[in-house]
Amino acid sequence: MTKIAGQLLKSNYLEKSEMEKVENDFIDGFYKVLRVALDISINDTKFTEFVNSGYKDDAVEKARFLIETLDNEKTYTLMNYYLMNFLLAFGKGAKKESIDQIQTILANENLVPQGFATVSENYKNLTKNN
Amino acid sequence: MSDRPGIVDILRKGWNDAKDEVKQAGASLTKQALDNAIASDVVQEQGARYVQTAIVDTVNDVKEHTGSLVAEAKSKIVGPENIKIYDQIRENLRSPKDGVFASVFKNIAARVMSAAAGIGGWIGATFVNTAFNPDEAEKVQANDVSQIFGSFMSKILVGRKKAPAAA
Repeated sequence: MTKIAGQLLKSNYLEKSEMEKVENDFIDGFYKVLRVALDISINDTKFTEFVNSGYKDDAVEKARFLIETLDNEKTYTLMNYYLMNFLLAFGKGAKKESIDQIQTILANENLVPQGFATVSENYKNLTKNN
Repeated sequence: MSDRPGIVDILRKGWNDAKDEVKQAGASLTKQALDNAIASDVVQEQGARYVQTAIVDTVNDVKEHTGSLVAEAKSKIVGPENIKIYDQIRENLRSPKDGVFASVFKNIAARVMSAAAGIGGWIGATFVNTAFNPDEAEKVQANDVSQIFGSFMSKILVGRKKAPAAA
């Protein structure tokens, strides 16, 4: 889905003068959701191991720990949800003459309602106790 | 038996209706709702603002619905020193302007996301070259952290081969 989001952000489906703002907001939102993903992914045992490993001040190892912590189903569920909502909103907000092209892009990538429903269902399952 | 909404229908329905529709996972559209959505030219005239609002809405939605998960996970990080270390790690994702992944994500939006092939290596290299000074970058190039990062971002960017299982 991110690949498609990238195509849309590079496109002229919105007014060009507004695209930079949308692009910046997209990145900002991407970061924010990624931070939430980190917060819900942190594991106290692995974190303690990292702190005690002697590498806690090493930038490379810190980055490695961050990435490995993020690499889990919760992250993918949140990022997919974010991307899905972006695609839906972009499809609606785009210029009218672009709608058909956007539909074709999504269909070519198998981004069909059932797929979106699965993303939404995964998100609901992850957050159901909140 | 109700028909599942087509992608055309979802796209035409508008943000507020569409997200509810998706959440209901397959509820049928009414003709009136579709007609109303198609008639709502005002959305397309203000398309950028519309998308921006949706982005903010989604981020707020995620924050709201993960509140207790975040609290539970972070409660396990105890002690001022550990909290400080965790905050430093988290800071890497703090700001598109200042975080160590800033250029990476900037480039994601600008060009990387549309390139399916070789994406991991490219992002990995970008990460190394932007996050570290030349001396450190050389050290990191010999390390596999750039590959780890590239692999992770590849999975987010171009999807995993294995479909995510329901939680």
